[in-house]
Amino acid sequence: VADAVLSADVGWALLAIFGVAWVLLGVYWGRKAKDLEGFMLAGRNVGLALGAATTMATWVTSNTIMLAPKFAMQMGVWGLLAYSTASFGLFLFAPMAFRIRRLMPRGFTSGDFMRLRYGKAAWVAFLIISMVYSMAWLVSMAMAGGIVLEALSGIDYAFGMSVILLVCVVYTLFGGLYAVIGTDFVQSLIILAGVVTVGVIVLNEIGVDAIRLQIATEQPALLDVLMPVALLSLFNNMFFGFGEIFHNNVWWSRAFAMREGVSHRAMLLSGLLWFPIPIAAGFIGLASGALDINVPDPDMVGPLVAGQVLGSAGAVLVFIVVFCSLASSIDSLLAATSDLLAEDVYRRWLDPGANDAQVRKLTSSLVIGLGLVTWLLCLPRFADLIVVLFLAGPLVASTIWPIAAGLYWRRTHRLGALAGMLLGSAVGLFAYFNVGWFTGSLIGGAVSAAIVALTTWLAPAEPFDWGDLDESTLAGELPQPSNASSGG
Amino acid sequence: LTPATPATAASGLRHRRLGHRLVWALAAWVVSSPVLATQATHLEAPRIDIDQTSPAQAPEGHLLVSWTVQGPDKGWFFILEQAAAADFSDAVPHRVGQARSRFVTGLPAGPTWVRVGARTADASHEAPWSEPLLVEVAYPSMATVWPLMALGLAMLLATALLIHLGHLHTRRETSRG
Repeated sequence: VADAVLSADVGWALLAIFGVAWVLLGVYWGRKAKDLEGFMLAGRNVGLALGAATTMATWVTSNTIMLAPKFAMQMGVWGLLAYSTASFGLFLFAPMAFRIRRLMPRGFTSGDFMRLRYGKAAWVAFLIISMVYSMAWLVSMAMAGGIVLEALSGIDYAFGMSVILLVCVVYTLFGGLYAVIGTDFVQSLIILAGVVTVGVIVLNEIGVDAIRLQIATEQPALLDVLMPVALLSLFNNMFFGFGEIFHNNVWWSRAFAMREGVSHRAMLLSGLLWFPIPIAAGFIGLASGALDINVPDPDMVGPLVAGQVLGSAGAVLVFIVVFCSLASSIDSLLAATSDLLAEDVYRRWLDPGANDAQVRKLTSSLVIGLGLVTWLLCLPRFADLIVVLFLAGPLVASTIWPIAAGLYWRRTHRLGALAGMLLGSAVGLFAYFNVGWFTGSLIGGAVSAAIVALTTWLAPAEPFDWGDLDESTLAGELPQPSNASSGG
Repeated sequence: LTPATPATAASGLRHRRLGHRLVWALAAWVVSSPVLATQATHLEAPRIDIDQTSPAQAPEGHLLVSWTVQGPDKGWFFILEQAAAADFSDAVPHRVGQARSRFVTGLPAGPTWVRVGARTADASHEAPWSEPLLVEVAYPSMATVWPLMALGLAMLLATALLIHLGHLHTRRETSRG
């Protein structure tokens, strides 16, 4: 607290200004959400600019601002690049979003796909994986929020974390996906402008040569192109990113929410916009040694260096950028996870006769409940951010091939998908604990891919009818689209 | 208030100079007095104990070094020294300030020695160094890394190919209507 760059009063003032702004904007945009589809999917009418902005803003999480500098500080340039490989997930999800929109024009959640494509057992396994990951992501973000506010302004961790969560819960509650996408648009502009400004100022302040010289003399391993952990983290982080994006309802809900033909371009554009952000943030972490700034906690290196180099004005900027990145991700995750629970667990499982009004009401309660559970889990500030987040890596990486193959191959077997997720998760977790965190996602994803591919080739299922993915045609609500088919 | 004239200003200046001389003389007497001189040269130094047990393992080349301080710590600023040699002949010092931990990163494979000391702001007094901490860095062997890298590359190519071919197929289907 003694090292905080801003006073707690300034911190509270910024929290109040932006907190009130997000709530008011969220409520304003949320007025459009007249029905369940409006609340969950923003009327399925989101255009390119909003689509790209919401995707980019959601993927710039507090983890990006805090873990990218930490990666760079621990693993040098490879670490910095390793974090930026998370954008490859958006590039690969772009064509998948096109197909998702085509095969499931009236779909609601990623769980819908797993249930219709692979049946109940794989669907349940998928829901468990998705919920574990979503909670890990939510907890790591809320924890990061509390940590960074404390580092910059001295606001007590528990208070800062609580206020951020409360603000996000309130505006998501009132506005649903309309509010999330609208606020994401404003937040993405602030994040981009803020990160570019901070990066340019820090670069002018220190210079690349000074950083390289300091690292070469005092931290030589960071310049080693064959640093083992850094090399492995490159692929591990990439597959973790693939798993996060491919499986999570945050991204599927955006694919469903965008107008037909828009999702592909929006995802590509957001990936391009996102790619340089962890590089700029990571550069700040690399500079900490050259500036001889003491880093008592590696989770705080980014905000700490930016605050100390740029002074109060820079700290205000970092504070605002972090608050925007937190809000843009937490709101998306609250909305998408509550949708998944309401649609998949409640309507499809517990109460198949539930109408839209009941589901909408339950979704609101779930937003509050998720916020509350996250708050309780975050209060003890129990672990390292990387531990919290990367523990879910093997689980989500094991969903990469069941989803990708399930979208494009007719003959992928439901048992193969289930076995891929279960064995991939188990072997990946084993590697995480016994080889290193930097192998869990890579090994989990590879095991799952091998199982899915082998079962498809050696024991192919009956060709899947893609029309079965469109529940509206099954219910007779809409005309059946032309069959989209692919290999396999 | 009386407006200042050149005469009153000069008189005031003389009084201030006299006052300054008196203050300096008093200060010199206080500092040179036997009691305070003993306190200045024997300023009680804190005892620093690194929390980690030696040897500490750092399989990824980084370690959060933290320490506990016994005795007075106000006005003392910590320094962490990192060296490849056990006698710290090649030590690189890092200013820590008043925090009780420092994240040490980018360590080369093999042993690294770390110790923590403290000094006052004007560097007139120094606390004894802590017991040195041996940090052993043993990265995963490249015999483990290369196969995993090959696995990662193969999986990346296979995933990209699966999606690319599938997308081309979807595009063809879409253009056919």
